[in-house]
Amino acid sequence: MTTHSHDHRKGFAPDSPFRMEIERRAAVAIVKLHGSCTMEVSRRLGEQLLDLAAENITHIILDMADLDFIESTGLGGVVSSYLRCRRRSGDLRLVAPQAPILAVLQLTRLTQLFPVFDTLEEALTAPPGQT
Amino acid sequence: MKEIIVPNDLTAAKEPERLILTDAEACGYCENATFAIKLALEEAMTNAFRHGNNCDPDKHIRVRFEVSPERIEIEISDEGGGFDPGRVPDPTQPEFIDRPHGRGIMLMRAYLDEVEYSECGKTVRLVKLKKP
Repeated sequence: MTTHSHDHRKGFAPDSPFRMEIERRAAVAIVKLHGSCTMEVSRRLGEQLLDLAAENITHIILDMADLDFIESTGLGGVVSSYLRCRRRSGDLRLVAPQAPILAVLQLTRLTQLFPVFDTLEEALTAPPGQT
Repeated sequence: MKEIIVPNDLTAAKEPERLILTDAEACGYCENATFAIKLALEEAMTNAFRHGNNCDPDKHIRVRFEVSPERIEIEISDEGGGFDPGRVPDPTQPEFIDRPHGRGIMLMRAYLDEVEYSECGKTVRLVKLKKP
Protein backbone atom coordinates (compact mmCIF):
# COMPACT_ATOMS: atom_id res chain seq x y z
CA MET A 1 0.00 0.00 0.00
CA THR A 2 1.36 3.39 -0.94
CA THR A 3 0.56 5.80 1.84
CA HIS A 4 1.78 9.18 2.93
CA SER A 5 2.14 10.01 6.59
CA HIS A 6 2.16 13.68 7.50
CA ASP A 7 2.00 13.40 11.29
CA HIS A 8 4.59 16.01 12.06
CA ARG A 9 4.25 18.37 9.13
CA LYS A 10 2.93 21.80 9.91
CA GLY A 11 0.18 23.70 8.20
CA PHE A 12 -2.51 22.77 5.76
CA ALA A 13 -2.64 22.19 2.06
CA PRO A 14 -5.14 24.44 0.27
CA ASP A 15 -7.78 22.71 -1.84
CA SER A 16 -6.49 21.46 -5.15
CA PRO A 17 -8.85 21.31 -8.15
CA PHE A 18 -11.00 18.19 -8.16
CA ARG A 19 -11.20 16.26 -11.40
CA MET A 20 -11.92 12.76 -12.66
CA GLU A 21 -10.32 10.79 -15.48
CA ILE A 22 -12.41 7.92 -16.80
CA GLU A 23 -11.25 4.94 -18.81
CA ARG A 24 -13.78 2.34 -19.95
CA ARG A 25 -12.78 -1.26 -20.55
CA ALA A 26 -15.95 -3.17 -21.52
CA ALA A 27 -17.99 -3.44 -18.30
CA VAL A 28 -15.21 -1.97 -16.16
CA ALA A 29 -14.67 1.75 -15.57
CA ILE A 30 -11.42 2.98 -14.09
CA VAL A 31 -11.95 6.38 -12.51
CA LYS A 32 -8.86 8.28 -11.42
CA LEU A 33 -9.65 10.92 -8.84
CA HIS A 34 -7.44 13.98 -8.49
CA GLY A 35 -7.36 16.79 -5.97
CA SER A 36 -9.76 17.68 -3.17
CA CYS A 37 -13.31 16.34 -3.18
CA THR A 38 -14.69 19.12 -0.99
CA MET A 39 -18.28 20.03 -0.16
CA GLU A 40 -18.87 22.39 -3.08
CA VAL A 41 -17.80 19.81 -5.70
CA SER A 42 -18.48 16.45 -4.04
CA ARG A 43 -21.88 15.92 -5.68
CA ARG A 44 -20.10 15.77 -9.04
CA LEU A 45 -18.43 12.55 -7.95
CA GLY A 46 -21.69 10.77 -7.15
CA GLU A 47 -23.35 12.06 -10.31
CA GLN A 48 -20.47 10.88 -12.49
CA LEU A 49 -20.36 7.44 -10.87
CA LEU A 50 -24.12 7.00 -11.17
CA ASP A 51 -23.88 7.98 -14.84
CA LEU A 52 -21.34 5.19 -15.31
CA ALA A 53 -23.50 2.71 -13.45
CA ALA A 54 -26.39 3.68 -15.76
CA GLU A 55 -24.31 2.63 -18.75
CA ASN A 56 -23.29 -1.01 -19.20
CA ILE A 57 -20.66 -0.55 -16.50
CA THR A 58 -20.97 -3.06 -13.64
CA HIS A 59 -17.49 -2.79 -12.13
CA ILE A 60 -16.03 0.53 -11.01
CA ILE A 61 -12.45 0.96 -9.89
CA LEU A 62 -11.68 4.21 -8.09
CA ASP A 63 -8.00 5.11 -8.19
CA MET A 64 -7.56 7.36 -5.15
CA ALA A 65 -3.79 7.75 -5.21
CA ASP A 66 -4.00 11.43 -6.19
CA LEU A 67 -7.05 12.29 -4.06
CA ASP A 68 -6.10 14.36 -1.02
CA PHE A 69 -9.51 14.97 0.59
CA ILE A 70 -13.06 13.59 0.59
CA GLU A 71 -16.04 14.35 2.81
CA SER A 72 -19.22 12.44 3.51
CA THR A 73 -21.25 13.66 0.52
CA GLY A 74 -18.52 12.33 -1.76
CA LEU A 75 -18.45 9.06 0.16
CA GLY A 76 -22.23 8.87 -0.17
CA GLY A 77 -21.91 9.14 -3.94
CA VAL A 78 -19.46 6.25 -3.93
CA VAL A 79 -21.87 4.18 -1.82
CA SER A 80 -24.79 4.95 -4.16
CA SER A 81 -22.88 3.81 -7.21
CA TYR A 82 -21.68 0.72 -5.35
CA LEU A 83 -25.31 -0.20 -4.64
CA ARG A 84 -26.17 0.29 -8.31
CA CYS A 85 -23.27 -1.97 -9.40
CA ARG A 86 -24.13 -4.60 -6.80
CA ARG A 87 -27.71 -4.85 -8.03
CA ARG A 88 -26.24 -5.99 -11.35
CA SER A 89 -23.80 -8.44 -9.75
CA GLY A 90 -20.95 -5.98 -10.05
CA ASP A 91 -18.71 -4.33 -7.51
CA LEU A 92 -16.68 -1.23 -6.69
CA ARG A 93 -13.00 -1.34 -5.78
CA LEU A 94 -10.65 1.26 -4.36
CA VAL A 95 -6.98 1.70 -5.19
CA ALA A 96 -4.25 3.30 -3.09
CA PRO A 97 -6.10 5.80 -0.90
CA GLN A 98 -3.72 8.14 0.92
CA ALA A 99 -3.42 7.53 4.67
CA PRO A 100 -5.89 10.23 5.84
CA ILE A 101 -8.53 9.02 3.39
CA LEU A 102 -7.95 5.37 4.25
CA ALA A 103 -8.50 6.35 7.89
CA VAL A 104 -11.85 7.94 6.99
CA LEU A 105 -12.85 4.79 5.09
CA GLN A 106 -11.91 2.63 8.05
CA LEU A 107 -13.66 4.82 10.63
CA THR A 108 -16.88 4.74 8.62
CA ARG A 109 -16.37 1.00 8.04
CA LEU A 110 -16.76 1.49 4.33
CA THR A 111 -13.79 -0.80 3.90
CA GLN A 112 -16.33 -3.53 4.69
CA LEU A 113 -18.15 -2.62 1.47
CA PHE A 114 -15.25 -1.84 -0.82
CA PRO A 115 -12.09 -3.90 -1.17
CA VAL A 116 -8.96 -1.74 -1.11
CA PHE A 117 -5.99 -2.64 -3.32
CA ASP A 118 -2.44 -1.37 -3.37
CA THR A 119 -2.24 -1.10 -7.15
CA LEU A 120 -4.54 -0.70 -10.12
CA GLU A 121 -3.22 -3.95 -11.56
CA GLU A 122 -4.26 -5.85 -8.44
CA ALA A 123 -7.71 -4.28 -8.52
CA LEU A 124 -8.12 -5.24 -12.16
CA THR A 125 -7.06 -8.85 -11.73
CA ALA A 126 -8.41 -9.87 -8.32
CA PRO A 127 -11.42 -12.20 -8.50
CA PRO A 128 -14.74 -11.08 -7.01
CA GLY A 129 -14.88 -11.09 -3.23
CA GLN A 130 -11.09 -10.96 -2.79
CA THR A 131 -9.52 -8.09 -0.88
CA MET B 1 -14.35 35.08 19.31
CA LYS B 2 -14.29 36.10 15.67
CA GLU B 3 -17.58 35.94 13.80
CA ILE B 4 -18.46 35.58 10.13
CA ILE B 5 -21.91 35.26 8.59
CA VAL B 6 -22.06 33.77 5.12
CA PRO B 7 -24.90 33.27 2.64
CA ASN B 8 -26.34 29.78 2.53
CA ASP B 9 -24.33 28.34 -0.35
CA LEU B 10 -21.47 25.90 -0.35
CA THR B 11 -18.99 28.18 -2.10
CA ALA B 12 -19.52 30.98 0.42
CA ALA B 13 -19.35 28.38 3.18
CA LYS B 14 -15.69 27.80 2.32
CA GLU B 15 -14.65 31.24 3.57
CA PRO B 16 -14.85 30.45 7.31
CA GLU B 17 -12.85 27.29 6.62
CA ARG B 18 -10.08 29.31 4.97
CA LEU B 19 -9.97 31.78 7.84
CA ILE B 20 -9.90 29.09 10.53
CA LEU B 21 -7.28 26.97 8.80
CA THR B 22 -5.11 30.02 8.22
CA ASP B 23 -5.26 30.83 11.94
CA ALA B 24 -4.58 27.16 12.77
CA GLU B 25 -1.50 27.19 10.58
CA ALA B 26 -0.27 30.36 12.29
CA CYS B 27 -0.73 28.63 15.67
CA GLY B 28 1.36 25.64 14.59
CA TYR B 29 -1.26 22.91 14.27
CA CYS B 30 0.03 19.82 12.48
CA GLU B 31 -1.37 18.51 9.23
CA ASN B 32 -3.36 15.77 10.96
CA ALA B 33 -5.11 18.37 13.11
CA THR B 34 -5.89 20.65 10.19
CA PHE B 35 -7.24 17.69 8.21
CA ALA B 36 -9.53 16.92 11.17
CA ILE B 37 -10.73 20.52 11.43
CA LYS B 38 -11.25 20.81 7.69
CA LEU B 39 -13.27 17.58 7.55
CA ALA B 40 -15.40 18.52 10.57
CA LEU B 41 -16.04 22.01 9.19
CA GLU B 42 -17.10 20.65 5.81
CA GLU B 43 -19.49 18.22 7.51
CA ALA B 44 -20.96 20.87 9.81
CA MET B 45 -21.32 23.50 7.07
CA THR B 46 -22.90 20.98 4.70
CA ASN B 47 -25.37 19.97 7.41
CA ALA B 48 -26.19 23.64 8.08
CA PHE B 49 -26.63 24.36 4.37
CA ARG B 50 -28.60 21.25 3.42
CA HIS B 51 -30.43 19.99 6.49
CA GLY B 52 -30.64 23.14 8.62
CA ASN B 53 -31.27 25.83 6.03
CA ASN B 54 -32.79 23.39 3.53
CA CYS B 55 -30.63 24.79 0.68
CA ASP B 56 -32.53 28.10 0.96
CA PRO B 57 -30.34 30.84 -0.62
CA ASP B 58 -32.08 33.52 1.45
CA LYS B 59 -30.81 32.03 4.71
CA HIS B 60 -27.39 32.38 6.32
CA ILE B 61 -24.86 30.42 8.33
CA ARG B 62 -23.16 32.07 11.29
CA VAL B 63 -19.69 30.89 12.30
CA ARG B 64 -17.96 32.04 15.48
CA PHE B 65 -14.44 30.79 16.14
CA GLU B 66 -11.39 31.18 18.30
CA VAL B 67 -8.04 29.65 17.46
CA SER B 68 -5.33 29.57 20.12
CA PRO B 69 -2.11 27.57 20.39
CA GLU B 70 -3.93 25.18 22.75
CA ARG B 71 -7.36 24.70 21.19
CA ILE B 72 -9.67 25.54 18.32
CA GLU B 73 -13.29 26.27 19.19
CA ILE B 74 -15.96 26.82 16.55
CA GLU B 75 -19.71 27.43 16.75
CA ILE B 76 -21.84 27.01 13.63
CA SER B 77 -25.47 28.10 13.60
CA ASP B 78 -28.13 27.77 10.91
CA GLU B 79 -31.57 29.31 10.56
CA GLY B 80 -33.51 26.08 10.24
CA GLY B 81 -35.97 24.32 12.49
CA GLY B 82 -33.40 22.27 14.39
CA PHE B 83 -33.16 18.51 14.83
CA ASP B 84 -32.47 15.89 17.47
CA PRO B 85 -28.92 14.57 16.93
CA GLY B 86 -29.76 11.66 19.22
CA ARG B 87 -32.13 10.34 16.57
CA VAL B 88 -29.45 10.10 13.87
CA PRO B 89 -28.55 6.40 13.52
CA ASP B 90 -24.98 5.19 13.89
CA PRO B 91 -23.81 4.77 10.28
CA THR B 92 -21.24 2.17 11.28
CA GLN B 93 -23.89 -0.31 12.42
CA PRO B 94 -24.30 -3.18 9.93
CA GLU B 95 -27.84 -2.21 8.93
CA PHE B 96 -26.75 1.33 8.05
CA ILE B 97 -23.30 0.85 6.49
CA ASP B 98 -24.60 0.84 2.92
CA ARG B 99 -26.73 3.96 3.34
CA PRO B 100 -25.48 6.82 1.16
CA HIS B 101 -26.08 9.46 3.85
CA GLY B 102 -25.66 10.02 7.58
CA ARG B 103 -21.90 9.94 8.18
CA GLY B 104 -21.27 13.62 8.87
CA ILE B 105 -21.97 13.74 12.59
CA MET B 106 -20.10 10.49 13.17
CA LEU B 107 -17.03 11.88 11.39
CA MET B 108 -17.14 15.11 13.41
CA ARG B 109 -17.25 13.11 16.64
CA ALA B 110 -14.43 10.83 15.48
CA TYR B 111 -12.04 13.65 14.54
CA LEU B 112 -12.73 16.23 17.24
CA ASP B 113 -12.45 16.35 21.02
CA GLU B 114 -15.89 17.86 21.60
CA VAL B 115 -19.04 18.05 19.48
CA GLU B 116 -22.07 19.56 21.22
CA TYR B 117 -25.43 20.59 19.84
CA SER B 118 -27.58 23.32 21.36
CA GLU B 119 -30.58 25.46 20.45
CA CYS B 120 -32.54 22.34 19.44
CA GLY B 121 -29.79 21.28 17.05
CA LYS B 122 -29.48 24.64 15.28
CA THR B 123 -26.01 25.31 16.70
CA VAL B 124 -23.10 22.93 16.91
CA ARG B 125 -19.97 23.63 18.94
CA LEU B 126 -16.75 21.98 17.81
CA VAL B 127 -13.51 21.77 19.79
CA LYS B 128 -10.13 20.47 18.69
CA LEU B 129 -7.30 20.39 21.22
CA LYS B 130 -3.68 20.58 20.14
CA LYS B 131 -1.97 17.34 21.00
CA PRO B 132 1.59 17.56 22.33
